[in-house]
Parts: sequence; structure tokens; C-alpha cells
Amino acid sequence: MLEFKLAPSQPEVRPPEEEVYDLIILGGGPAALTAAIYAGRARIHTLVIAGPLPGGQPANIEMVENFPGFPEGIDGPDLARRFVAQAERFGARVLPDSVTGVDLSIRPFIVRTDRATYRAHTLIIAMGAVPRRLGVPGEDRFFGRGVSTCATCDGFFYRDKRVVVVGGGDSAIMEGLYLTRFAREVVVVHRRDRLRATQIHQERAFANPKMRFVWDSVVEEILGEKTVTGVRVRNLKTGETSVIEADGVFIYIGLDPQTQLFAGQLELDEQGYIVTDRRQRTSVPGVYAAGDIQDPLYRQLVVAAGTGAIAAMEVEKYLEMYPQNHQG
Amino acid sequence: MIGGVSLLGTSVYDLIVIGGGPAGATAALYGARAGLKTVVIDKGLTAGAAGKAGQIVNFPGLGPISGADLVRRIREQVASFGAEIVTDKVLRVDFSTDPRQVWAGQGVYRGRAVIIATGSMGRGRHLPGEERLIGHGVSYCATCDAAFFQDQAVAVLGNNDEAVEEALTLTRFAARVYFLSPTPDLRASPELARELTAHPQVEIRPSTRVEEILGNERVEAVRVVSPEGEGVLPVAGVFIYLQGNMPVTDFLEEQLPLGEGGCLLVDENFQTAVPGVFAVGDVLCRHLKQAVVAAAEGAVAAMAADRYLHGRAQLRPDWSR
Repeated sequence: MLEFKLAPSQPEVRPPEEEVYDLIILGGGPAALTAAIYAGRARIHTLVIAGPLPGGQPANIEMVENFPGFPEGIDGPDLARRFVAQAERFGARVLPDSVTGVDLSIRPFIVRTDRATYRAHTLIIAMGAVPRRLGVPGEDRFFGRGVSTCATCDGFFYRDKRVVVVGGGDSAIMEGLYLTRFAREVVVVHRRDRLRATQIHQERAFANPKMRFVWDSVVEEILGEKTVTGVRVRNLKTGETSVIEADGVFIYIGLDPQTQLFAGQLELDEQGYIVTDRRQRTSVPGVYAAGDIQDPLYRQLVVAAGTGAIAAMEVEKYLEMYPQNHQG
Repeated sequence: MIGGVSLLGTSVYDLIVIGGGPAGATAALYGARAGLKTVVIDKGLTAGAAGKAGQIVNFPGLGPISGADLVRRIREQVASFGAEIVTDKVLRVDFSTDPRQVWAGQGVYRGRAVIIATGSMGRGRHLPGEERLIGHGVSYCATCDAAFFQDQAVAVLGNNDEAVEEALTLTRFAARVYFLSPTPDLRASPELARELTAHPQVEIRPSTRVEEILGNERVEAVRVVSPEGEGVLPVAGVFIYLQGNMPVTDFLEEQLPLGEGGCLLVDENFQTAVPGVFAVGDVLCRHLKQAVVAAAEGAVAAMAADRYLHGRAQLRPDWSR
């Protein structure tokens, strides 16, 4: 019999579950869901707290072309749905809740969400890193189809086109240089009158005939009807606005690993990423991390998925070493 | 012709990938998309472990899929981004020159960076019945295939850590695990050996050799010889970890330092002791033998090779290896 409930006006807060999971996976992207596929397959009793948009970053990408195994490319939301379905098929329970706190000082570990409290013998943290956005009109509408935070993913589409890169740090300049392999012109828009990037990258950028610089300026709007046609920029010194025509916009103004909840409980590096070893172990035994939350360098879907698989296999070994904790 | 061998084209590749399985093909995918002039040299679609695998169910986004199909799809993707894929066998290499040189049956390939993704192969000699029943009950990976043996009896052949770990994984699915050790004692760590010995679903048979794997369509039994005599043990699956798999590194002729058993050693960016020469996948020491892990390594190595080629050398990999 189906039971109908009225949607509660406030999030329903459930009491702590008695049940102790073998594994709770925090996050809902490729790293988290690949970990869930491997854990489910290994009969590890697993809960995935995936956040409100299970599937993670690919769910925001119109077309994923560099995930191996999809020769025609795959629609991002479709890839995200496949990850979720596959994890559920192997028995993982996937909740769309958000993690609000963890306690790694007691065992089993405690994970609180906006709705309930859960306990588990092991954790895999795979909540990702969020590229900072500009917060200007047009950005959301064109994100994943003209506005990108990943030149490695999307640079190939801009052969002989003109692109705008926003930012002045190492990522902006290195990725801008990368884009000159494809694009006819790369226009760097930076809010200051000089770059923050390492000297050697600056020298290369200034020597590259395809690179142009627009100083002291911020992007105020991303323009276009069906596709991106340009950006409107404002000069912070003169207050004047102008339009730069472009086919694509790459935003490199920083990245925030989602590690606020773990500060003081796990070792983080100076940029806030979780420190892991080759086996995805963190500074707390039984707690693993995978994907972008521990990877400031490569940030690719398939790399995240690989680390998720490794973390799950390590969890399996860890639980075997402590079978008294393990219900499997 | 130079020195009796044809130089394939006059041009130099940015990136030569040796081996076109999940690791090598994904490396080529990332190389080609980065605009590198890339060639993949591979022995053929079903030459590698993935190509021979039966169903792969845990490749995210795609499973279940046959190993050959997975590899074919990645290669199609590679070709669509302009990399060349040639069917050829690499005979030897010279990493002391710049560009590096790779000798194959059809001639010499020259490249500024090389990614080795040749994988590992089963032992030189197979058990009778083994090859015929690969994917039909014969497996080398419990993580991959244990779930197919729900409530059935399986045999594990081996005596080392890997064999014991895989046997323990199998106990979660199989009703009964016969652990057939060719030696009188286990060559595994004491904790693992204790756990295996104490496990109620495991029966350890020391000094036991498998003479033949029996079955028509699927594995039905193994014929064993032990100090007690010869017999037939009915099992639905046979998991083989005898002498481990052999990494394919013979063509390197000691130009790179090798680990125990001939596997390749790399740093956190999958670079070998020779700058610009990388290695990924099952050819590495202590590899997990999972297609998605191999693919991830391929992607990382290609990005690292790209940085090497473009002088973005001070890769500071907080990638925390």
C-alpha cells in the first residue's frame, strides 16, 4: 500500500538511526558513485549522502567528451544518472540529503545531515571542489555550453575561435596558454593591472602572439542569444564598459574544496584540500577521500572515478582487518 | 631507410603510447584532445587483459559491458580526436635519444614523450582448459567477478597475499572456497594466513596442484593432485594467482628500473626514471587491475606528459601521492 505524506513545511528531522553502516560515502559525483559501485559490488553495507543534485559536476555539463568509453560523447546529466543507477543497482542507498557535520573523534563515526544522524565504521569523503563563479547575468544560462571552468575538457571545441579567460593567477594563465593551441585569440580579462601568475608563465603569456590582455576590468555580463557571443566588461579605473566578442568564456578565479566540515578533524593542505596518500587514506584511519576534494591538480571525471574505486577497495581491506565491526 | 629499418614518416610524434587497453587508450584520448600528435601502438583489440575479460560490470557509466567492447569504444573515441592507432608489436626501445625511438614490426616510431601501457599477461604456460574457459568460470580478479559465484563453490589457486585476499573477497559470495596451495605452507602475511585458516567457508588444501580445468561451456570442476592422491573437485569458478601475472616489459631491455617480477616503478605523476617516459595500468607494481583505475592513470599520465612537453615542468602535484 502506498502511503502519502504532505510535504513538510520544514525539513523533517529524523532521530538517529540505530543501524551502523559499514561505509558512508559523502558526496554524489563520479568519485562518490564509483566508490558506491565498488562497495556495493563487494557487499559492503553502504549509504551515499549525495547532496541535492546526485551525479555531481557532470550533471552541469552539456556534453562530456573525455570520459573514456563514450565515442560520441555523452550528455552530462545522462552520465550522472547512469552513475546513480549503477550504484543503486549494486545495493547502495543514495540519499539526496546534505551533510551538515561529522564527528571523526568517536567510533563508529557520526555523520549529520539536514534531516538525520547516521553512523558508520568507515567514511569516503568525495564532496568535490567547486570552481568559483563570477555571479553575473548569462553565466548560469551558458554554463557547460560556452562558459566553462575546464580548458582540458572544452578547449578542443574552440579551434580558430576567440575565447575570453577570466582571472590572473597560475590557472588562468596556464589554461589560457593551453587554449592558444586551439583558439585564434585568447583574451585575458583581469581585475588588476598585473598578473599574479608565476613569472615564467607570465613571460610565456606575454610572448605569445595569440594572447591579449584587458587590465583593471571585470566581466559584468555574458552575452548571447543561443550561444555565447561575447562579454561586457567594465574598467574599474575609468568606469567605462565595453564589449569583447568571444565564442567561449573560461573562468579561473579559484576553486573551493568542500572541506569546511573537516577542518580540525582531518589534515588539510594550505589550500584546504584533504591530504591523502597513494591509497586514498586520510590522516584518520578508516576515513578515505577521493576525487577533486583531494586533487588540486588534475580534476577530471575519470581521475575522480579512479580514486573512488581505489578508496572503496581500501575500505574493503580495512573492514576485513576489523571484522568485529563488519556486518557484511 | 636508416640502418635497415624504415622510419615511419619523417615526422616526430609528440606522444607515443605503447598499448591500447583502458590505460593506454585513455592516455591517447587525453593526449589527442590536448592537441598532441599522438600514436597508439597496440597488438590488437583482444591482445590485452581487458580485451579478453568477459563482462565488466563496475566501469562507471558503462557496465555491464564486455571488455573488448569497452576497449573498442575508447579507441573509437581516441580516433575521433585525431590520434593514430596502429596494429603493431613493439620490439625494443631506445630512451637514450631525443626524440625517443620505438622499434616495432613495421618500422621505427619517434616521439618526444612515451607512455608505456603494455599491461600484464598470464603466465607463459596455461593449465589445460584455462584459456578456453576464461570468462566462463576462469578468472584472475575476484573484485571483478566474485558476484557471479553467489552460493556456489569456487577454487582459488595460489599461495601469496593476493591469492588470500582474493579468497577472502570470494567468501562474501561463494558458499565454499577451496584454497589450493601448490606449496605446503602459505606464502602470505601471518594476519592474512590466520584469517584464511579460521574462515568457516574456506577449506585450505596444501601441496595441491591443479592438473586440468574441466567443463564444456563453463567450468564444472578441477582435476587435482595432492599427497592424498588424485581427484576431481566440483567447482563453478577457478581464480588463478599462480606466480602472479607477468608485466609486459621485456621490450625495455633494462632501460628502465624494474621492480620485483618485472613491474615498472613510477613517481606520483606516473613518470619513470627517464624524464618524459611514463607508465600506467597493470604494467605497474602493485596495480589494482581495475579498468577505471587504469583509465584514470592514463588520463593523469597524458596530462603530465603534456606538461612535460610544454615545459610546465615544475609540476607540483599536491595530488598527494
